[in-house]
Amino acid sequence: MSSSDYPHISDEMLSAYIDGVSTEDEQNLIESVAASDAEVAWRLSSLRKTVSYLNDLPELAPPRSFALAVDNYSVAAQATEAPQLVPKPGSAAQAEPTSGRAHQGGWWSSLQDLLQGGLFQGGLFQSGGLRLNNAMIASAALVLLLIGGGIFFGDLVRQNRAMLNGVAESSDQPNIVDAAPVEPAPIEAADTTQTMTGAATASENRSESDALGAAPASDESAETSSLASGPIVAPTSTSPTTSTAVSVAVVPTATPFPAATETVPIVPTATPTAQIDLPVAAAAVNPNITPAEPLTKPTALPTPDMPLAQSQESSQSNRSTRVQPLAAQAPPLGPAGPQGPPITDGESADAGVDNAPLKAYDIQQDERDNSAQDLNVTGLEDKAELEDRAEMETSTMVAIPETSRSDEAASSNRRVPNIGATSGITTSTQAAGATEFITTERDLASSVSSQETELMTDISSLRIEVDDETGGLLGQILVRAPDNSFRPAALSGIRLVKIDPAHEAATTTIEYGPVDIEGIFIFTNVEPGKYVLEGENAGMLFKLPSPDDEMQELHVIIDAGEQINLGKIRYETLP
Amino acid sequence: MSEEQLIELAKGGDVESFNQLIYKYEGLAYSVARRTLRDAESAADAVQNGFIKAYQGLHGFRGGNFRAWLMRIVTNCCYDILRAEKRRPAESLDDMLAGPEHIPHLTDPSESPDQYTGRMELGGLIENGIRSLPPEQRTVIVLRDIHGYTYQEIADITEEAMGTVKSRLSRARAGVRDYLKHHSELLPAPYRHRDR
Repeated sequence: MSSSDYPHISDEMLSAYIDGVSTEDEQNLIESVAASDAEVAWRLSSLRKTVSYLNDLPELAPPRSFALAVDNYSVAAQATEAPQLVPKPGSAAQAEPTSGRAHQGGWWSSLQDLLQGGLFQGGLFQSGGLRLNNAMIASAALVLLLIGGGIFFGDLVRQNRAMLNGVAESSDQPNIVDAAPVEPAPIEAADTTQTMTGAATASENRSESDALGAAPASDESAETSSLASGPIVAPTSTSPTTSTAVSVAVVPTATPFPAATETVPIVPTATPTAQIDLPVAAAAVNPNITPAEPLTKPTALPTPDMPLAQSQESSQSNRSTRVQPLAAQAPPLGPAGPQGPPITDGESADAGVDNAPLKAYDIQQDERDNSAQDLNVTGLEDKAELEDRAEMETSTMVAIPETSRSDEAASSNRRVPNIGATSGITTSTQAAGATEFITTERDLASSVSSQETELMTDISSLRIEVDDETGGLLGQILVRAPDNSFRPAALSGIRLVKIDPAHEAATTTIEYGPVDIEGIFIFTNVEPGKYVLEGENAGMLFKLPSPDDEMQELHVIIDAGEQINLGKIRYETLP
Repeated sequence: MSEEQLIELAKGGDVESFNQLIYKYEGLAYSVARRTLRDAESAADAVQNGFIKAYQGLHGFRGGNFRAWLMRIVTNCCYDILRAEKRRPAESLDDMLAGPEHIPHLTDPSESPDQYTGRMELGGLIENGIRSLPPEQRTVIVLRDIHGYTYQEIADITEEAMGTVKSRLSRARAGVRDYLKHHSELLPAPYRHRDR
């Protein structure tokens, strides 16, 4: 903790100075102070050394390549439209049709534009799923080709007749009547071995190919289907169960199909355009990737300020075991983020819990899945407060096991907390030896309501490990509920602000710790000194008043080697 | 072929061109993701998903710093995973230990085995210190002090104000410093801070 005469020279200033982004005035100030003040000098040199250590860390080698699988398709991202399928150069999809008809670039696009915006205005092709749209476009293209083929053959027959009859046909108009009748081939169920690109399952493969009519029924339709400009799912030997097979043969021109993932609709709308199942998508790229398994071993985090001996001991003893949360059956310490209303409102303990000040990027906002809806992007504008909450993850909190009340009562070394005279808190000790703050005008028996008895943690039984240089502080904040009982205060955290004894003004030394669902807060490794407690709720900070006198602040004096258990601090109201 | 050319080709649907960009940045992306997410599988998922989204949204890149644009996507994918996992207040001590991939390779043949061991121990301890930070601070300190991004680039990537970036960075550095301070006995002798 800082004992410098220059508390206004913060680590942020020093950090900016190290990076060379501080102002000239700040540079001059820091250099002059560092030359005379050991505290500032140490902070500057230690930060510099830390930065140098970080600079030496290497870039981590990825376990595999993350290149996208190409196979026989590529996805073209367009400025305003949904991604379209285009044939990969050199792939079979781009091969000329057997009829020898020349590749007519662009006509397919024109056809789609016509179908989407012309004849079928009103959104015929704007609605429906990918498969339906693909099927309709393929069918329309098939019909047109059949007609065109009929015209061609009609011309051919006519020419032959003319040659036979010795009469040149002067007319350029095709005689449709003479054209060989060609009926569009029905859409047949596809072979079950056919697959689509992306992360489709076997069943979805079959239904997808059904919609596309991959397997023509007759020779004639086989010929025409080979001329079809729709995507043809070529039979492959790929097992239907393969989720990585990509075998879509896209015929000649750029077919404006959406990306071949089952969840991508044709039309880019505000709805999610691509929802990629990460494990499956990863598997589509590399079959060796298995879905990530969620971490299931929550254990206590050795805090940065934990004494080395303690951390070593805990790491050795708890290396492969879980450290239980504060109370065996109580909810864990409240994570960073706004606490929900008191439990009595019927909400779960996790209600409203969120912590990361996360922002959606502007590229594919819609692609975030619904699990992102609980993200707290609600408009907490104070970034500093968000960061404070985020820091709760590394606050000086340690999970300590709950001990039995009787054991603690028998061997309690609880002392009456050393409270500053300004606090106005009266103290009393119970017969069991536990220390608890209660307001003088309240009767202990009547204040313990049925709701309080539902709280799992006995604050009086909690202990904090302290050492010879630091102390600890814990307590439980309760507030009067409408039913006249006392409930855990809906605070997201407690700030422990050290008061400069010389100036009686708060310094920049602030400890921050979360308040759990039972209103319990714990601070460990606290530097000795006089502190004021500040509560935080929904981004608002306020000094905790003395329960006896709301005009007085709640002050705590912490000595080295001392654990202060404030017990249950009850308030009628809180801001 | 220049990066701009590759990007233009990729916009036209050339996946191979985009893969060339991936080869260039996948190490950086994985390194940032790995240190942000703390486990290899989640980091790989975030990176893969980020690259897929980057390809699909490539039309949204209108020039400028492609590296920062790409890292913003990957970083947001990391945050997506964190949100999905509902950041846990405590985690396994085993997870705190640096895995094999964190051990820096011996690059200096003249380095003695003791020096190599000390450097690896230091690296592992620093990695643990980084892991002890909140995700937002982890991202900033990794981008700045390990990968050399500028403040402006970090602000663009994290979509935060410059002041927020500076604040987070300073807190992150102080956090790692304090972590090392409290684990000073684990530091190799040449790297120990002076006791205060």
